[in-house]
Amino acid sequence: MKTQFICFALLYSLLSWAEPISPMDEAYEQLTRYNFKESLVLFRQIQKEAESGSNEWLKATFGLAVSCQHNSPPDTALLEEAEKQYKLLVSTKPESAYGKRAKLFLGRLLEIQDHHKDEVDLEGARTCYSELSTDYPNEEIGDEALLRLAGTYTQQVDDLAEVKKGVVLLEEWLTKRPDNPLASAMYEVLAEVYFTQLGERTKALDAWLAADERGLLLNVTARSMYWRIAVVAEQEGRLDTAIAYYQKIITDQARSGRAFDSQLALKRLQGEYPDRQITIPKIELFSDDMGDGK
Amino acid sequence: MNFKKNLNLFGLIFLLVAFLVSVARVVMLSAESGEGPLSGGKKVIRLLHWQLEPGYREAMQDAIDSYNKLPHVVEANVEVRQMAVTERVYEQFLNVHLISGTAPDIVEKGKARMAGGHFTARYFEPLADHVKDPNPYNAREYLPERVPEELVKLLATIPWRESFIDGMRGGWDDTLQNYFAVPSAFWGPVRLYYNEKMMMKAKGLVRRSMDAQPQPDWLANALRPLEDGGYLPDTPELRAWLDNPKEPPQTLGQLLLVCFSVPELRSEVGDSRLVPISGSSYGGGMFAGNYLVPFTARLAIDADYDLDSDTSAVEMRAAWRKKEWDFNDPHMRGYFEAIQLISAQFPPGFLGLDREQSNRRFTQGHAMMIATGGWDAISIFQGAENKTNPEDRFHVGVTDFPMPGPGERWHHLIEARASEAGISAGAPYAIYQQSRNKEWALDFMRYLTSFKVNEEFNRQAGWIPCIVGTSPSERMKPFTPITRGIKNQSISLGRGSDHVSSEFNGQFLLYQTGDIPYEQMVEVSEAAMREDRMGLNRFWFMEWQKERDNYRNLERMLAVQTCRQLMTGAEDAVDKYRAGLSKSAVDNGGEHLRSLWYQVNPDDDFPNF
Repeated sequence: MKTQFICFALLYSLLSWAEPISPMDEAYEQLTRYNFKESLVLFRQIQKEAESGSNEWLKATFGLAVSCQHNSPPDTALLEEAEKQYKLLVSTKPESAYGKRAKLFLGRLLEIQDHHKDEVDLEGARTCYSELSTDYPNEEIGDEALLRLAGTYTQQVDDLAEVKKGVVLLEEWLTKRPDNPLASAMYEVLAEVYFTQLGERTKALDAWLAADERGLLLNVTARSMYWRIAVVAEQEGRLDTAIAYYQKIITDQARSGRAFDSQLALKRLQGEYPDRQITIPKIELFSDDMGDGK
Repeated sequence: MNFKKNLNLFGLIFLLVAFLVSVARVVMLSAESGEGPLSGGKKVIRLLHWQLEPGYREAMQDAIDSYNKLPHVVEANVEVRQMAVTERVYEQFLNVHLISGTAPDIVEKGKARMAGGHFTARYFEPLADHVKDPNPYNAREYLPERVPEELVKLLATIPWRESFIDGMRGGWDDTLQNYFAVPSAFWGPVRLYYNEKMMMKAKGLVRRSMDAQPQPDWLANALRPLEDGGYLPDTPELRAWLDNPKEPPQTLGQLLLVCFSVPELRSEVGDSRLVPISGSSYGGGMFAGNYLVPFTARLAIDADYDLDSDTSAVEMRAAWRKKEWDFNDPHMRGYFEAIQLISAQFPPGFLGLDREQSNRRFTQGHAMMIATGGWDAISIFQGAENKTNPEDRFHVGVTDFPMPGPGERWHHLIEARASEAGISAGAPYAIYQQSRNKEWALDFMRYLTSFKVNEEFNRQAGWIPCIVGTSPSERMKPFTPITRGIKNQSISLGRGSDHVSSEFNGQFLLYQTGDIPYEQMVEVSEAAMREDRMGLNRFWFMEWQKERDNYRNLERMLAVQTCRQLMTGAEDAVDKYRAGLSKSAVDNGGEHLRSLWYQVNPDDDFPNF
């Protein structure tokens, strides 16, 4: 019996080298690994034990709300709990970073259909976004809220009047805050709507250019955007822009698969406009210049 | 009574001994794996992959051995070991170990369900923080002398991710907006391998037959005027090519010509089983895939309504509904005609043959050509060139798929070959989240993807290195991705994973083998598109649903990044969030698909199933 106990103890000590971590750290780690089922249990416990309104409580409540909202597969009861927790944060600490973010995420929860029986509350979402953009017009949370608010209109693709409301919202915001941190994304959205829904190619081109000028937030977007700019600019007769972007595709986006097409386009333009002295960059990608002959 | 008592005692002793042996075994195995108090502090890093192709494991072992000998690695008592598991069980093996928490430290990412999708973040270490610093193994002292000074300086200073030719795109996860794997090689694109000896004989036969009076039927028919069913003209260029015995086919017409000569060639070489091309269920689609863009790109480009350089399956089918293309279009007819003719050069019943059978037919000299990727190169080269009987050996040439040349049938339908510029590095390795030795696992991956090691490793494995400035072995240079070509846009109802694509793919196979005429394939495929419940409308709805799901899933990533920012002030969380937000806003919930619907079907409501 004594021997067995020693062996069990030995086994246990051999197998368990993990150092204990705090419940909050554990909950955070599970959340960042997308283990929402585990993280929501942990955050719930921490919330119970934390003082209401304290930093610990804010973290736990927010973590609990996020975990409930994003647990997979979606669960109606958990989604309701997520809504409740977001509203609790908003009512308890509306001015805190957690409170503001909770209002935005509440809007997302109301707007997006989480499962096929989930009811979308578009007006509820619009209220959240509208309040945030009104209350925080000079903060990034306000920018993001406005972007989302515009999205609720531009998504009504079967009603162009609604789509145009979204366009107006973005245009007005960009007039007031032309260089806000999300301006590039706003211009991208405008370009997309102008081009695919409203057929306004010139405006789309200008919006893409504005987006690129401010630096794209998602770099990989450049692959398709530069081609669109080059082609539409050429079609609109804006040759300098077209040439610059065909060249940019070759030098900066060689992996987009459009580099060769861009070379062909520049060659064609060379022929049509010999006085412009158009240069055609080389495609620098795979090279065996370094081969040692093995 | 004594006997019974003794028996009980014996049983107890036996149980105890078995238990002690079990404990001892666990302790020993743990020590061997670098775990437990008896391991002597040894850290064993296990690396798992499924690459059993000839040369790969040896090349990996050489890289591992050289790493294990590095002074700082020896000092830290670290040892890397590889584990190769066959593809057939890799998925189950990895899934089980990921779930049970016993996965190796480094795993080749792929095959297993738990190694992808939304399981990625759960099981694997995000690498964004690690890839922004230079790879220390690209410092000057590790580089070969031949590297120019400019490149030496570049490699020493650029972030690790920038040292990859594809910017480490092969390890990037778009949904999670992070790097979750380190690619280690380019899989060579698909090429045409040919038996040089046989090709020379075929060309010789064609050349002699050109001067014969009369010419054999197979040649005379091929050289007829195009309007009379011919494939290529008799030109000085053709004769010059024939007079250069080692040059592989430069045009599709030339390729077909040597194929047509094979029935007569059989008696000349004494091989009744000789076929022009070793096709199979595996390789049969490679010709169809490689000629799809050249033939149909023009139609696809016109269907790229949003000009985003990608003709989606929805756009392609929408263009069909708008009657902007159909199967009577010369590009479509020409493509299918060409593919059926090429497939007629495969062995009869080729759909019943698999990859190994097809490769074996070629390496045994019973086929003049075969199409497959660079991943089969070493086994094919060795199979053909290392036979016991020197007379059976033959050198294998590699060439690109030739396009119809000037004056040949279909030449006027060809846009250009497809560019391979967008190819991403592959054979990606991910670090297991629960690895106790993540830092060392990462260190080994830095080593494996350093300039010198990556080049040597891939040359030995017969693959293509993926680090800036490296080059493959001479033999593998034909597999270097070709950048001269147009964007990969095409028309094919086979894309889509729905009822229509299933019907079309089935019909296409029957057409390819000559079992049904073109008109039947078209009729059945178009009928599938028109079906109320399972046709184009349903596909459109399903694609929209998929976009909505992706839009929803992106919220998950945004939420996690927000938590990272608010709870720990993670520096990169803001940029990641903004990138994801940008994508979410522009994707607009997939509504561009509904917008396209209303443009194509202005009088119909968007379908709902």
